[in-house]
Amino acid sequence: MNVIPAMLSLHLALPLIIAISIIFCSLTLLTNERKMYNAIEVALFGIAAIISFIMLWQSYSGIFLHILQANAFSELLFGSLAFGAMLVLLLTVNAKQQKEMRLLMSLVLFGIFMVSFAYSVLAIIIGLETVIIATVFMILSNGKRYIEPAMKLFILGAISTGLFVAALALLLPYNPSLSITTSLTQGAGRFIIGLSLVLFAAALAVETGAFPFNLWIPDVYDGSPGNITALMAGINKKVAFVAVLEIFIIMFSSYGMYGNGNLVSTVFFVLSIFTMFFGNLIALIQKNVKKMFAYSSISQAGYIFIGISAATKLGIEGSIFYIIAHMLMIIGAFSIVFWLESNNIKNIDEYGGLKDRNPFAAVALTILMLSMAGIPPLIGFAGKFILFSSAVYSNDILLAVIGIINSFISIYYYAKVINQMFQKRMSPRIQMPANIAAVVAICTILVIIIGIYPQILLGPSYLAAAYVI
Amino acid sequence: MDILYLILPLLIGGAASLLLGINENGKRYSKYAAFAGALGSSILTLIALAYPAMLQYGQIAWFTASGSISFPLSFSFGYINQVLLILVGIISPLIFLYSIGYMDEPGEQGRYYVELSLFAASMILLAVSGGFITFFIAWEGLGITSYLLIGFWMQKDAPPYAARKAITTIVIGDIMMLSGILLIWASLNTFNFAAIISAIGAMAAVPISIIVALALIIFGAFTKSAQFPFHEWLSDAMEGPTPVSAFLHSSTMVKAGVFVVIILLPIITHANLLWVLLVFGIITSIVGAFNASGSTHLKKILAYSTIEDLGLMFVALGLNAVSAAVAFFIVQAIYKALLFMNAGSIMKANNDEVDIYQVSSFSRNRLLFAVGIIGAISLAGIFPASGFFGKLLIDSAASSNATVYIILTVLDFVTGFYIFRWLFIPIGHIGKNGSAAIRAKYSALSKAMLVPQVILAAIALLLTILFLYALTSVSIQAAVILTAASLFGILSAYLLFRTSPNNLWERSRSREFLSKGFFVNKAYAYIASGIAAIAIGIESIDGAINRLVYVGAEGILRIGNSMRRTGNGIVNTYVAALAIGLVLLIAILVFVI
Repeated sequence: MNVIPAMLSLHLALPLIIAISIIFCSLTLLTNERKMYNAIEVALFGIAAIISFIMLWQSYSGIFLHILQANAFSELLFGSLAFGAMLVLLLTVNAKQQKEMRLLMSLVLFGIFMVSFAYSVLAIIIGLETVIIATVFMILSNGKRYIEPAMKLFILGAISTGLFVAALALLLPYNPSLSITTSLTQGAGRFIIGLSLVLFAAALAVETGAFPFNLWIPDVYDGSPGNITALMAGINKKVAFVAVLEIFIIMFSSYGMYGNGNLVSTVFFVLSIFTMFFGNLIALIQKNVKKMFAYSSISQAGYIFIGISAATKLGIEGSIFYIIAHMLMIIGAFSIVFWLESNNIKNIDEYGGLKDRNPFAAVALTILMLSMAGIPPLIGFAGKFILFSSAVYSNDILLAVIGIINSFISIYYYAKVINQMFQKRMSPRIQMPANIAAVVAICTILVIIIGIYPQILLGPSYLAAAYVI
Repeated sequence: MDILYLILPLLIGGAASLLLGINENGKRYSKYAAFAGALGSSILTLIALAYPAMLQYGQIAWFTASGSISFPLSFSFGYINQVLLILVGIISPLIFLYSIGYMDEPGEQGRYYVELSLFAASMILLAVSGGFITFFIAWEGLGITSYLLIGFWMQKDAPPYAARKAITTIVIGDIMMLSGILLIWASLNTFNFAAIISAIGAMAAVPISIIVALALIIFGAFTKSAQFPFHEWLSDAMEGPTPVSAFLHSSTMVKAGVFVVIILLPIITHANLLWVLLVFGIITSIVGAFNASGSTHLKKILAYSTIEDLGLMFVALGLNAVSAAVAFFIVQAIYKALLFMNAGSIMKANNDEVDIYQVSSFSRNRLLFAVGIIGAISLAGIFPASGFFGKLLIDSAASSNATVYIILTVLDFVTGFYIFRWLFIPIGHIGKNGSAAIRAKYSALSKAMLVPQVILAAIALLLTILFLYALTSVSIQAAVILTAASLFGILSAYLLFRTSPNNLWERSRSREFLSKGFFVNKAYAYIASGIAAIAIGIESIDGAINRLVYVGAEGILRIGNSMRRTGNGIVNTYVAALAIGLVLLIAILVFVI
């Protein structure tokens, strides 16, 4: 009789839900497709997110299942990313291969869970691998045409994992438990630890898209179907950011490598500057909207690095805030791109007159893009403002100014699309499917609400940051 | 009443007009909804000004980061806030009213009115801002709405170009402004204007970081207030609809920079940066005045004149004559809005012709002519119009500095010259459409376009009474010199453009030179092509890395053949870049450890 309450205790409820979802999806592979299955799966994702937020609200913490631990950081990020994954799942409910998509999405949820609740580096690597492999198969399930981007993603993912394992191998003699919170045993060579750090940085830079590890991103994003691009930009990349925070800030700060002017800060300082400029300047000359958003999402990753480089609680808080904020913005934007792509609208000049073809999409995309450009009072402004302040606060004036310059460069390419959309052109209206409209509406509304009341996300981000640093 | 309620009617009106604009049947009512919103806001503003006691303002905690670092929205209701509020409160409903007559394409009205309402709301927010966060939010709102409104007629060729130029300047300004704000915050830990002023005022010596921050803020202000070398966007902004020029680009938005400098003037003085204001103000007013004399564009003459006026305000601030600057701030907004509305009426009657040699006179419409003259004498600084006092106060403030005073007097002469050139030249023409057609168009001008002009003309004259009542002493000498210079300018304009049919000025090389805008645009073009070259250079980074692969990485890294074949051989580019990145990271490691 004691088994049931234990199963229902909150931290075990999450793996239970994920297991149910995976089993459910596997079983439905064998049966005839029904609309209800999608609804159940979306509901399971929603329940997972809600349970995580309840855990956050009750400040639940503790280590469980040996390699996992619950705390404010893991609960906030798992809840948000599971919510994002639910949105992406909503996008795909009308796809031809939805059975497979559903299963793969629940594997992605498993990956998110492993990474955000990681107590051991093993959990992180298992989670990251699961997410990448599931994404590769998602791309492949769309047909032969997509073998190329899938292979590219697979190869880059494999290289990233290889670097990750190599980094881990360097660390293993000094930290046999592989837990991310224990400090090193005596005798650790500083250079070996530094080398391990650099390899970790390279491995995660591939997945977070830091320059020059990111050249594959526009290619793969552009080659994949729009809903999977939304997944890669909105979820995969953010999972990698969670891993970055765990490895570089929790783990390496206990090795004395983190802090203003220390190795981690310096590495991310350099990565941040190059990533921002690379993404923004190339986005300026793109003609294809999907590619433009791919480059823009690269530059947005650069802003998140600013907070990591700042090495203060304020910076980490800003990074966590911006990870979630950018997830909302980019999923909304790629949903619209995905929908227009299925109507054969891809280039910036083809977006002309979108106002008349579908006013809702035009207004929503405008709001999302203004938010990405950092126009108040939208979520992007609050996030960037905190990130730039954090750089100023730890005397990185240069980084703050470069961030500000980049943030305003981005206004150009967003304004170009906005201008096009609001031109008057005689063209027939196009209908947006209800599921995509729901995703876009949810993202846009959250972008506005959290933009006006940032505290509702900033409060939890602070709790999470307090755990990390 | 919370101070934010002042913008509520505008937001509601804007949203309503957007919704009506989408609806096929509601389109016609879109403009009335927006007008009602603007009127509501200005009534609330007037109530607030009359009963300041019932207003609640101060700080609203917006968000708190890191537990203790707070980012509040501060509001204030000091005299300069009130001045700007009065101006926006008076001019905004008149502009909306004028727009009802001016903007007659029903299809685009929803978009136009929502943008204009958002602009007016940002302007009110700016006027009540008491700290940098509120200020910057409003500042960004002004920039974006201004960009959208300049490019409103996107189907034509010129407006998108003008909008791009405007947003380039605006963005440069935003970067400087935000950097300055964050620099001040880094050393003082506050965004509140009053706290910043008292903290810096208490310092014996202003540290270099704050001087840099103030300089950044001043140059940020220069971009919005169209000071040299950032002034050219304003003349191009005339591609926007005329009510927009009358509202944004002459009377309100361009004052945002002057406004923030007025607020920060005590610490700018303390940091010994007044000379920056004085020097750039003088250069700008000279450039503006002479460009205005060279141009033949009905609206651009007024735009360059606005640039000159803004320059004069910065001159007054550079002389630390705040009251003169504020007085000019008020009268200039009134007469410039009036003149732009007047120019818009002329364009309307002449089928949007803008060359002063092509348009036909508005003497055919006596009322238009009369208000045009009131605007012109106000701009020239002739007595019964209130512009006289604005100029007089600035001239008196400069009387201790001989060089500045002489320059200002010459400018008074030039001002009288160009504005009466603007007034006189069209009188002699019949116009393209022949006189009967134009006469019909003049008499068909909507009342909604005439009423606001009459109201503004009346205000321009009534303000004189206020000045006579408020000013205790004026320098008679300065008044005489100002009047003489302006009258001399008007006389020259009369002799050149009314009496001699074949005048020398228009054919002269110097006018040709002046109309080219002192080659500022050419300098912009060089800078822009330089930046474009950099962007293209970075684009070719892919190609460069590709080359690196074939030259080096292939041999060194021995990337397998099977891998190279996947993905059309592009993957090995990515992997090579990755390897290069790893080498760089290891270099950092060696460097740091």
